[in-house]
Amino acid sequence: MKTLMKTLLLTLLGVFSASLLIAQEYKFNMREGTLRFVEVNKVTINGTSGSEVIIKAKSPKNFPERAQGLRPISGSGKVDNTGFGYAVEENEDGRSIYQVTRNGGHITVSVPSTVKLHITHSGNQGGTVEITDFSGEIEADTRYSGLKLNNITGPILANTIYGKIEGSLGTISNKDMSIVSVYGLVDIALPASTKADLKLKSSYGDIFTDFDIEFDEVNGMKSVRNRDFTGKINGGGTKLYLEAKYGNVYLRSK
Amino acid sequence: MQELLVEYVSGNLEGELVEYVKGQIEKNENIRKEYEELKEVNKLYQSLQSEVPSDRMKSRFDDFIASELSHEKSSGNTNWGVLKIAAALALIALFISIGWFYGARQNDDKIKQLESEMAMTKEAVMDLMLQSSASTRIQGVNSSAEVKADQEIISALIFTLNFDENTNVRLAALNALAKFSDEEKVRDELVKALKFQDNPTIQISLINLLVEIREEKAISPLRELLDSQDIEEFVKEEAQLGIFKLS
Repeated sequence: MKTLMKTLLLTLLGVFSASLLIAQEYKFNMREGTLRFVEVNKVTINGTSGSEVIIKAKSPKNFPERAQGLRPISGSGKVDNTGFGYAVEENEDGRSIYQVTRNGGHITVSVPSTVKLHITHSGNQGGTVEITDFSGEIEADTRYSGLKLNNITGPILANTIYGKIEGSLGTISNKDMSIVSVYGLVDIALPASTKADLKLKSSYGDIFTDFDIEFDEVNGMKSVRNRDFTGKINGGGTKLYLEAKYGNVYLRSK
Repeated sequence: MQELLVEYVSGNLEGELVEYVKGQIEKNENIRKEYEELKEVNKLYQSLQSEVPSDRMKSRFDDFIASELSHEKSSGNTNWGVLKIAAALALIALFISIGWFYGARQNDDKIKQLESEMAMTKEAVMDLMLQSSASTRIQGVNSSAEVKADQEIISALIFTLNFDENTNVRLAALNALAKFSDEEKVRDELVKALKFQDNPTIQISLINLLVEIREEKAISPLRELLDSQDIEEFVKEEAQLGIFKLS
């Protein structure tokens, strides 16, 4: 009798933890198109060479006990279909990930680099969006959320109002990049050998670098007053625009 | 290969083709030489483009002289000093242009060739601005600075400023348009754009530019921004500052 109870308990526990594990992961096939993160507060994104997107909930989302058997929905009509408070919807050019509950748990998302990333966030509840080892295209438009970029090689078009954008980039592609923060700082490290045409701008802040920049001829007084510089590193190449209107721009050679 | 090189030098290649041409330049000495030559010609071409402002300076100078002369005439007394300066300056300009033409003649054919390539690439630039990928569109906007700017390119930039869905692309268009801010049409469009833009980054950049070019026509739409419900508080502060600086 004792053994039976034990077996039963163990089985129950096994089923329970298995279902817990399954509930903490959501995946789908995706090789192309745009993956949109809409108002997702806490997310870490990792680039892969695979063909599926895997969303994992980092910390288990504890819904209240009363919510058992129910699924969260949001005012915008989004319904949790992942089991951990997020909605993934298919749309014409790819998929969109929405946070359904007010305080969504942190998710880690593996994304094939052949997919385009599109991140929008306008609230002030968000954390820093961290993207690592991604070689595809990144578009980010946020208000308060910052961006942290690790070993990124694809084109980035990012802008934020209050967030700071920090990044350590790998060997970048030849596609133009543009990274802008209005009130935050922009801090980008590039391999010392990077060939780029730079445009660095800060209207009310300062610009710091340890790159040997070959400055273009300044065309008129305007450029000086504006505190915007154009120049080349290593003979020129990828067009790289970095602007921090009120903050500082840091460009590091690594 | 030559065609590819021209496209490469003009920055119109993408992806694998770039890598291919790069590889060829590294591997093959003849191709490398041709590339270096084309790069020089391209530079020359770019500097030709930057001659445009001096034309404008010249016309400003002409206006100045004309108004000076008419002013003096009305007072019944020709100012020979001004005329002498004008004549001397005209002579200097003539010498400079003779020297310039002489030096440039040997590269003339190549410039012509490149010019026709550039005319083609204008289409390419405008085409880029309409692509679905934002990083391709920003490439179109940024490379607009490398082709001969005309009304069509300017209109395309205005279109992008007002209608592109990506903020960074719109900002790039705004920066590109700033270079044409002494054109009445462009200034008017920038003022108009105040009403279209809903992203604070663009709104602030646009306000800063309008202040920088001292466009007083912006004052009244800036006042409207202050009264608007949809405008962020910090944008209103910027607008308020703008009104103060422009008034």
